[in-house]
Amino acid sequence: MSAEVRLRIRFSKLGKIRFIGHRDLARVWERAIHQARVPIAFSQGFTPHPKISFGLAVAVGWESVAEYLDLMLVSQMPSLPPALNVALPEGIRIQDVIELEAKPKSLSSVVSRAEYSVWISPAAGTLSDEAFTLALGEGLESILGAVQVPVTRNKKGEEFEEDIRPLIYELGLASSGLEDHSCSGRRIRMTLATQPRVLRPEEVATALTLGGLACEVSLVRREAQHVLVDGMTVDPMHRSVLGLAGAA
Amino acid sequence: MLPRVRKPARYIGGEKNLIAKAHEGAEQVKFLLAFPDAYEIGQPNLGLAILYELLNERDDCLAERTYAPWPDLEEQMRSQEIPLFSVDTHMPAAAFDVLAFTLPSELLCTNVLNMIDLAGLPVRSSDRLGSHPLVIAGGHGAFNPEPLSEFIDAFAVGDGEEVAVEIADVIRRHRADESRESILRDLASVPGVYVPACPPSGLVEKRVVASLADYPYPKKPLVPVTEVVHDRLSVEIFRGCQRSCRFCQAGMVTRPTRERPAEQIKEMVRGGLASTGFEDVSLLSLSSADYSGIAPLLADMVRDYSSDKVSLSLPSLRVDAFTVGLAADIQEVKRTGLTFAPEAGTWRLRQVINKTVTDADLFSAVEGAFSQGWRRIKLYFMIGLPTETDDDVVSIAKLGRAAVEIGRKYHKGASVTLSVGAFVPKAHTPFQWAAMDRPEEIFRKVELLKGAAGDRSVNLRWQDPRTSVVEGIISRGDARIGNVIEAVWRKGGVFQEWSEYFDAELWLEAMADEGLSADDYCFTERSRDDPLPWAHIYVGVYSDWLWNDWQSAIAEAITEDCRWSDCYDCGVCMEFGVENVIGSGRPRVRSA
Repeated sequence: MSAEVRLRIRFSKLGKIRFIGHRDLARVWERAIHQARVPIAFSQGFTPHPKISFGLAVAVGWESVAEYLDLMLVSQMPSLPPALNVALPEGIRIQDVIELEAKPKSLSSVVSRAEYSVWISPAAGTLSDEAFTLALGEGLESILGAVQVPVTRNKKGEEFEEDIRPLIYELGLASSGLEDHSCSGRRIRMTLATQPRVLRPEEVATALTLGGLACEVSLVRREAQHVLVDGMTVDPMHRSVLGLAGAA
Repeated sequence: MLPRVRKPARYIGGEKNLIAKAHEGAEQVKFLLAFPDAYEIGQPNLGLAILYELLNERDDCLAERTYAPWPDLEEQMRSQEIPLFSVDTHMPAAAFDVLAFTLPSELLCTNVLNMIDLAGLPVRSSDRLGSHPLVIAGGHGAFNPEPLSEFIDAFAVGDGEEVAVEIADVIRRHRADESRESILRDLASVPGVYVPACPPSGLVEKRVVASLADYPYPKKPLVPVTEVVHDRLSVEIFRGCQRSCRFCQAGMVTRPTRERPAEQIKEMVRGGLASTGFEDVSLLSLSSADYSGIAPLLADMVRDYSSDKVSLSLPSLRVDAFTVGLAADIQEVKRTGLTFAPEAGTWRLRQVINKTVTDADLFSAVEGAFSQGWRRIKLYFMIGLPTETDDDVVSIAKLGRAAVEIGRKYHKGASVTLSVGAFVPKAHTPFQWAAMDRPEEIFRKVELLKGAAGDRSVNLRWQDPRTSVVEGIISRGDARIGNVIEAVWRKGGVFQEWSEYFDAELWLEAMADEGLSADDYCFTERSRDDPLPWAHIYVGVYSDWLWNDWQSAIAEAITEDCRWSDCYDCGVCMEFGVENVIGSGRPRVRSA
């Protein structure tokens, strides 16, 4: 068993490929791993499965530059990033790979916040660009300043009200940059909870609309995922996160 | 637009091995290959995959793909005035020279009209102008083109590999034409092309590729990024079939049998796996166990891939060619579902339809499957076949019970699914003169079957017989059916292949409005003197031979497979100067 290699991979999902769902994404990875002849470890049992574990799901239609997955290999493969990048479809690219020393806690259990770029535009021609930017800034301020931000949610056909304010960590107009993106709208940055549940940027837009600014989300891009370590937020690849390794 | 529809991955292309060529000037003929059903059904289609690669390999052609937009996307497209687009580069249909449909099934013909309309073209060929893309159709539907003859400019009949390139050449020559007349006239002179506006003086002969070895396509298949119906590497091991099942249109129109050399198959599997990362391989044909070198081929593949977690499947397995050895080979790699198609419940009726497998053949195949570890098998049957009696129907259930009994020797939970469909007569087959059962009669026979199944491990599945009626109207329809298709489409009848959208009433109303009756098209036996609407399409099989074979059917006489018995002179080899290409002239041993 000494030859086992555990890897954590950060990858991006950009462009048209953002429209595939989590299951499709898993299949795309499995197939690329197979095609690139990655020496992946398989589970024991009647129907062996490749040992791949994905982090938080990225919603259909969201882009991301900060997705994570863990792999277990039966031997080292130095050429893994370029070999996999060739086998992956356009838009999915490996950004970084690190080797883990021990069995990590699952990504979805340690990640507690995510950072997003969210392109928001006014609902059909209601405001000029400048007026919209101004109103958007005010709307975000008022959400941050509020004690409670109630939104109505629908769960299994039952409507109930929930305060999403505790799930919002940061909100603000992005200064600029990334404006080359073909997407319309004003970019804002959000840092939102992924635990106890994933707060979706669209829900913040709903809160803005409830606050009097009719708007809609045209694109979401996940920019980072955060793990809380001793009150500090760090990346899932940070040394201190790997220190959280379970006693396997 | 895409964030607001279900399954947006249907419309993004983005497959691995995509060939996104730049759109260039007048020398480049641009094909938009169109499949009239949802992406997940159409993406794996082998015919389009072959044409996609073959055309894109040429410097003077380009091919992209489009599929029928699901109604939720269609609504968005119409409200935002977005035309039909290619999934590859999201170019509008008008940017292409040809909208080239494949016609895989009768019920999809309203989707063809819908896609022509979404492309921004008048649906009727006669209303289109020189500036519009040509609308061409091939595939199985082209063997009886009349129901769509008002809407399609030209049909390509038979194998598409050669004719697609010849069509491209004609288009290039007529690029500057203002009217359609001269290009249509030139297209009509291409062998295998039927142009309804320029009726041929003689017959339109189907195209036949003499050797599959010349066309090792697809070499680098597209790998979908979302779920599709056949998510695997498909390699065509032979085309055509000489078994002469009398109901089977594919077996009649694709003859003669042309096998791909075993070495090329292995190379295509090797190359295909390497370029795609697929983990499943399907060896495709109309009857894969009939490939003359199947045993050594499978043995080699098992040797090469068993350690590699690659699974192997052979669709369309005949029970008389399915041996325990074959079962062992398939399950060595990875076990998939197993379906056999005895088609009819008794040996008598199987002689009528010329599906010459005996009960013993079936039981030995079933035994082979259960003994090699399968626990569930599926048996496919038709009901409503010519000369069928209630005893033939009830015997289907008896076979199911007997198969379960065999299975129980090996597994406590063995089960058998009986999948039953209503027989639909098809053009160019010996049954083209036959009547089909009315839906009421099919329902009665289904009830008979339910009563006779009598075992919880025998599951019965059947198809809505009303869909078969519509299939029957179109499959042997004439040009008058075109108005019916248009009327159903105008009333919103799309995706008729899908049970949630199928609407029998729409069809019956449209038939009545046109003064037509399903009785004439479906439920009445045709006589030898009745003109056949597809008589101008020649597939190489003599009409006399078909008629005589129809008479043999009624007399319960079988026609042997000409690969290992005497030629019965159906006509195809003589007429096309081609012949069966097979590795061995001997039948393989019947069931072990």
